[in-house]
Amino acid sequence: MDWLELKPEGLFCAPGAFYIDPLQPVAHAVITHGHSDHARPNHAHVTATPETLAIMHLRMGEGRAGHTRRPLHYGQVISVGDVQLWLAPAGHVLGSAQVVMEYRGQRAVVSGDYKRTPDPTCAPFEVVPCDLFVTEATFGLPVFRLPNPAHEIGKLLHDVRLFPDRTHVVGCYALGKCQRLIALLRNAGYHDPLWLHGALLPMCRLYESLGIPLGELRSATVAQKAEMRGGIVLAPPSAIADRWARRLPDPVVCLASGWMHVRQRAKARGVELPLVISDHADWDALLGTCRATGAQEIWVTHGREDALIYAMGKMQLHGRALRLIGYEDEDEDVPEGDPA
Amino acid sequence: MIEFATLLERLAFTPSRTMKLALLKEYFTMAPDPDRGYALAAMAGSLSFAAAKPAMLRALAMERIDPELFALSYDYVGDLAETVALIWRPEAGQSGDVPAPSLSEVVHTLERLPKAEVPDVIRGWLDTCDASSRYALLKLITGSLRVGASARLAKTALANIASLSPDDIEEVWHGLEPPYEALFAWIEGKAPKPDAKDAPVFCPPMLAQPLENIDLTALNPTDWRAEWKWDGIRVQLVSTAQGERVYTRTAEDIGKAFPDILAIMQDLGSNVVLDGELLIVHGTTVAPFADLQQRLNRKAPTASMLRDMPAGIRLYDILFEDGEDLRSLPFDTRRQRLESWHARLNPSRMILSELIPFTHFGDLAKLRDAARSEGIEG
Ligand SMILES: [Zn+2]
Ligand SMILES: [Zn+2]
Repeated sequence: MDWLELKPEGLFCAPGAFYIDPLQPVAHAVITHGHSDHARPNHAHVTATPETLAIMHLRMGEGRAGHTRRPLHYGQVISVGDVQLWLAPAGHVLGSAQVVMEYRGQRAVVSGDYKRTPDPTCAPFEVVPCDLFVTEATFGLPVFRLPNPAHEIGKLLHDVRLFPDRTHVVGCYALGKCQRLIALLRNAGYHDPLWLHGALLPMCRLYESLGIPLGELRSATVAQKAEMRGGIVLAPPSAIADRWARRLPDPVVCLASGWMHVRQRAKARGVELPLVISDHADWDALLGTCRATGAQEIWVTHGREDALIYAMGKMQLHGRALRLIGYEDEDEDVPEGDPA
Repeated sequence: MIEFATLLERLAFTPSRTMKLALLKEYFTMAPDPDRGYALAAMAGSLSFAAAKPAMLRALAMERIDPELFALSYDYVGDLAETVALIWRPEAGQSGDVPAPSLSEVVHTLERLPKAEVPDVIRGWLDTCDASSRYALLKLITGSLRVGASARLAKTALANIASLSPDDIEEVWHGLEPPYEALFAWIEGKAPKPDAKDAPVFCPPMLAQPLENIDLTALNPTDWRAEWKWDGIRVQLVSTAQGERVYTRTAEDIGKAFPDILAIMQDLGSNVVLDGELLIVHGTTVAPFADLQQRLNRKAPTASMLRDMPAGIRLYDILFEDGEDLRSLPFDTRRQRLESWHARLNPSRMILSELIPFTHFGDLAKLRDAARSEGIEG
């Protein structure tokens, strides 16, 4: 597929003259979702779902989230240059989209980040048949066959009941993981107020305004220590091992991330209760999705490409690693506020 | 297996002793017999199998996964059992239909499983377990299971359930065998205290107190007895009709490392529990602690170690004699019993610890300081 090319700024669609999730400011950017390694500031023109535009606006402020913006609903087709462009749900976070492009009878799909597990806070991933599929590979190793998130929530709630005098502080990324965790807790029947670190509250309020109810949320920063005892506190991953968490009454440090699947990773983070909850496709979902698109050509953006490309070769698919420097997983140990 | 694996996982990540205790209490209360007994055995370090070698785990994994993908995964995870546990893909239709084996089913099967059948049985188990149970299972069958709780902590948890002290559990412990059903029945008030009369069990001893840490003015010297503290380790020698044991103060059985002491006790044929200091002794000279350390470091001593570093005992106290519990008797009475026992049997390589006469605690402090300069441990 020669009309999609890799440039220093990022993945470029030549006949439409736009970039997808570019790493540097460009004239026209199509953004898959609001995580800061995909949505970067100061593009001249931005096309994205209305939810992603709202998230970018909240995170970057007026002006930096694209000088002009084009909201595009899932499934709404527009022409950009000679390209037919539309967005399909990616199931990753609220507003996350796959970018679908058609040109001269060929179809290419760029997935951004995605998952196949149901998520009450966003629209489910939609398989779009295509000739070229660009996939992520965050959990691109066969050891990542992740458990059911309901099981992990059960683990947390069991621990909360077993240690009623302690405060469970759960590290979770501010966009997506936090709101999904809250929704999963509510679905599991937990309706007590949840205490939130200040860095998490604005995004939760935005989710609620976009129609995702999250129940009663309170600020942990202004709360009296004693009020939070026995409760669940949510905080950015960088805060759970920090002074901030130590001021909580008898904290039990938990972390919600796909990386918690491997013991060494959980141990290294000093986590007492690892919760294996991921917003990325696991190994089975990666392979299953690549196969389901029917694409003959698979490009792999960020993560562990080697194992995935090897496995595709065994499935007679042509895989290629796109080494896009700058994409990371939001759960990796990146200080809050940095691109992640 | 699932409950046990869940407990193991939680213990492995929890540094807090109080939380470990609560987790153990919950497990011992919820888990059925005999599973909980085998879990307790695992914590006491007495549940170990060498049913499988790493090569077998690898071979099993290769049946289900491409070698290249396995290698990439193992590189990333860094632990063989964990890699296999995570990578294992249950045969279609297996998971969910057949329940995972219980811990006791695993233990009972492994106990009498012919070697040739091991791979088939393990493959079947892996197919029915979840990832964390597979991990626990693989660690168990390769003899590398580590439990994030000591035997002492497990006993403390049991004691808490029944409002006993850990020493109460310790007192009956060595008369019991996995899966400890009599112990759990007692803890839960369903059966009397297990009778350990004939078994060579450990009895929690009186411990020495450093003089520096005690407010001596509050004590009456005539109520106290002083003896030298030797530079060895405190042990309890237990000899009954069922056998001889050498226990450390923490109830660890170190008899295998000291067959010379066991042999002396066997020769005596006396039904007795003694408290003393284990030392390396040449004639009347006590060897440096480093020599004893060498003996302690070996599971079983070599012939030359037995010849060059012979063990001996300085006796402090007698706790049982011919089934009679002497522990409630005053110390001076027990001392008389010890002296007459010693005079009667004249055991080789066992010397009475000398009582140091004193009228004021100050005398002891002076003696201690003099001894320190002469090289006796304080
Ligand atoms: Zn993302
Ligand atoms: Zn990403």
